[in-house]
Amino acid sequence: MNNPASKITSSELELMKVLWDADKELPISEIRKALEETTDWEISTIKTLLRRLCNKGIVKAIKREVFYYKALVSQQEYSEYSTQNLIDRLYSGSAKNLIASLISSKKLKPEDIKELQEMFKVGDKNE
Amino acid sequence: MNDFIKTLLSLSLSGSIIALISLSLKPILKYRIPKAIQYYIWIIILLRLLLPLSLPGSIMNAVFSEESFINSETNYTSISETTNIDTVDLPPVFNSPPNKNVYNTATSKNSLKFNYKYITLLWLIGFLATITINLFGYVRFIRYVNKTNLPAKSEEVDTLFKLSKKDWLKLYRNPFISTPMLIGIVKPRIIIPDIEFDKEQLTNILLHELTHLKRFDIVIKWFTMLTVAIHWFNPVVYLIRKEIDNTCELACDEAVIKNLSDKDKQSYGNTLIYVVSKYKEAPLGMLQAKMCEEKKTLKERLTSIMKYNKKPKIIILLSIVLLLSIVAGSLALGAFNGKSIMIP
Repeated sequence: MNNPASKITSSELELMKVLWDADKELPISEIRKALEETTDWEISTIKTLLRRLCNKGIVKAIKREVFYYKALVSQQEYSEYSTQNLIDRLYSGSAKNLIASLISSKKLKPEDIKELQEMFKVGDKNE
Repeated sequence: MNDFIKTLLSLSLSGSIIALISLSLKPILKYRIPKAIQYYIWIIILLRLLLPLSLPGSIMNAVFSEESFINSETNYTSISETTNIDTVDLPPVFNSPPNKNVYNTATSKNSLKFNYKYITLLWLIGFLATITINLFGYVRFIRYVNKTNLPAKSEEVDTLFKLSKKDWLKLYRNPFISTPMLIGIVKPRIIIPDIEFDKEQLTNILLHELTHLKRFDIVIKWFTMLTVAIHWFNPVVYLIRKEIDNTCELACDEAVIKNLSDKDKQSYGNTLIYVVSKYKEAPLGMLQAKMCEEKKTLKERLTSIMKYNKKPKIIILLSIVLLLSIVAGSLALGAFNGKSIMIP
């Protein structure tokens, strides 16, 4: 339920693409070289992004002579997640009007679910 | 006014009146009369908005023909310039001095005629846009779902067949949807999310979807879409669509639990909660207010299941009387169909 792929922001996605394209762990110098073509990020920006990605468990830093960075979420996992999101967005739009579904509501907070579970008791009243 | 716009406006107006009356009765009737009757009331309102059926001498015909009467009369005076307009029985608005009035109505009538062409065009654009947006969204969605469907487990297919006895009805799993659904008019199929269900949960889900299938709820949904497209300019139809959707679910739940024991009713409601609790990440940008409303809708369904009881015969009878009076009221309100002048 807590898909790490959901935590990737759009600038982090740029960086992830570099790691996915390389398909191996890369040192920061190579990441920077690849990103130079598409962005004008400073090395400090890239460091910050990498640190965040590591904290989120999306990228792993491997210490050799220098740090190497490895993608823990594959491009496929990410695209599956975005498709999930896409389908949900498609469904919440006009498609919803023409389909008979079990539940029309969206995700609820855990405390709301709990409240509904506690409320819903059939046959509690005297019959 | 041109006849087409008149008919359209009269349908919109009489449908809205009946809808607003029904909405105001809702708090009183919600848990008192069968959900099925409430659903039929909305279907009557849908028909009222779609079909220019009318009793002779209906209210809408009178309202909208009076105006045409005025128009043709004033037109006539503007040509002949001899009739004294004061002799014609007109609403006070038209009781301005005759000479000025003749001139004014003649020119304004021409400019109105000109305008109606644009109003009709504007309506057509809105109508086609609504249809296109809906169909486009629907087709895109169906395509994605078809592409990502996985076969259901064989014991799930067996369970479905035992319940439905229809070998043409297919069942799929799909990792990208959050709620079980029935899709397609020509080739209906049931799709469930790719998560674990025990046999009881699966049975509850399939019973719900099979009830939708049996009651042609998808057809109603298409008619609702068409109605919204026709009356896209009327804010009340969006309210009506929301009510139809809600009542459709409530009526479906009612039909499923009607013959269930308390224990099975509990299990049915638990399944609804289970499906929601298994939802994946909420789509981005969801508003908190919307969230509250989502919860309210589900809460109402659960409450309806809890409060469900066999209705006494007198209630059923009264509900049917209510339903019939709404039919009669709809016909009496009527719609402009251009025949009123011919009918004495």
